[in-house]
Amino acid sequence: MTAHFDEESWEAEIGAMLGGLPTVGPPDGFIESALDRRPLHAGRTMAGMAVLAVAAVITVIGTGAVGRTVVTVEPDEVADRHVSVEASVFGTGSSQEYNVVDDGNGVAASAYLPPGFQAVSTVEAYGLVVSVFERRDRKVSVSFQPGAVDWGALEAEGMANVDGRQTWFDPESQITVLQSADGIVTIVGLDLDEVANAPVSSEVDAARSWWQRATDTAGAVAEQLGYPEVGGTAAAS
Amino acid sequence: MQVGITRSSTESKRRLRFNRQLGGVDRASVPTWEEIARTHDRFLYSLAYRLCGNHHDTQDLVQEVLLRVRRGLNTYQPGNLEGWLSRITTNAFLDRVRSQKRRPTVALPDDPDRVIAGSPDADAEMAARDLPQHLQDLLMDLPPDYRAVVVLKDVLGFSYEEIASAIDVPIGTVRSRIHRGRSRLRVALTQ
Repeated sequence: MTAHFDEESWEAEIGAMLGGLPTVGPPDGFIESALDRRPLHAGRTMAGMAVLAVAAVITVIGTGAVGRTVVTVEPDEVADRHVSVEASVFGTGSSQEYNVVDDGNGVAASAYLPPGFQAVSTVEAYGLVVSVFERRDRKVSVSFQPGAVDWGALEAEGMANVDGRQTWFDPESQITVLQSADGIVTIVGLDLDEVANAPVSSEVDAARSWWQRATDTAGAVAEQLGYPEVGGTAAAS
Repeated sequence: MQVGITRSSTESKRRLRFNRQLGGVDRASVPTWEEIARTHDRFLYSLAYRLCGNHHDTQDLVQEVLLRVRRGLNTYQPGNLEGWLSRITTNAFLDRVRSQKRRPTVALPDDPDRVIAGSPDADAEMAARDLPQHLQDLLMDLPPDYRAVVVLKDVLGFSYEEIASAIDVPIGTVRSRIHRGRSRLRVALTQ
């Protein structure tokens, strides 16, 4: 199938050809199935179950079901983890392969980010759940782990206070360490001011506490995938 | 280092953004996601198909888009609904492409017989009938970033400004991607 185009108007001619493409409608029953939020394919079902595991982790952190193990956060390790996970997720040279628990459809951790960041992938790395987000050429990772931050192990000059919460921030590496009731959130790639204002722009009610937002986030993941009972299950554990 | 981000300053920013988000919107005029799904099913599906090129990926993408629509309705400003849906669909498509880069898969065409090279004696009627599928195949040969802007511009008729806003890239980038995409299509169509 060979076409001939005028040198002066070839772009318009191609545009017209594409503009003439017919619309394509969905097969019968597809929209009703989508409205029922039933996973269409086995792969999606597995992804959904994996995301629920993330949701459960976040919810358990928020509800205080996990013991308060004191954790020493090593900024160098955090930076290395970020670089390795990012390289793996974007296929830019990491030899590490991580277990992907969410291929980018989830909303886990979005409550901690400014607007416009899109979830790319959530993986298990070094025993943590790490979500990677992207906005244009900016890449941010958010890690979750149970326990309590050993603030004394972090450099004193990095200590900050955001909305009355103890926080640690390193402007050079853009690492922020937050503490909730029972969980640790480590964010790489944002300035402290962006972190401080992020909940304002999220879809989650900013007036709610950190762990309530974490619970909301977990619930939102479950709702997206059609498993509303998960929040209750995790809360009861 | 003590960073003095006080409650008063962040509260002010919160109020400003909150007011901006809800300013002047009559929420009763916003359709539900079920209404959008039923009234714009063909629009969504067709756009997704032009981006994905096969029904399996199209259905996955539309389902993802509907979830994003449901999630985003509380911040939707009534206006150009199809523009908003196109923005969500295109970004969901590009997100999927990025997330699949590390796990490349090759989707099977819906009808393998249609991509087998035709006989040189095929008549014009046959060529005309196969043109949509041929064009779709050529679209699928474009890099996803080029395909997305070409579909938005030439299939949906968006302006450069609307496309730049939808996918959050500079307008010059949109222009060059469309030009390069069309140029590749031209070469493929004239071979």
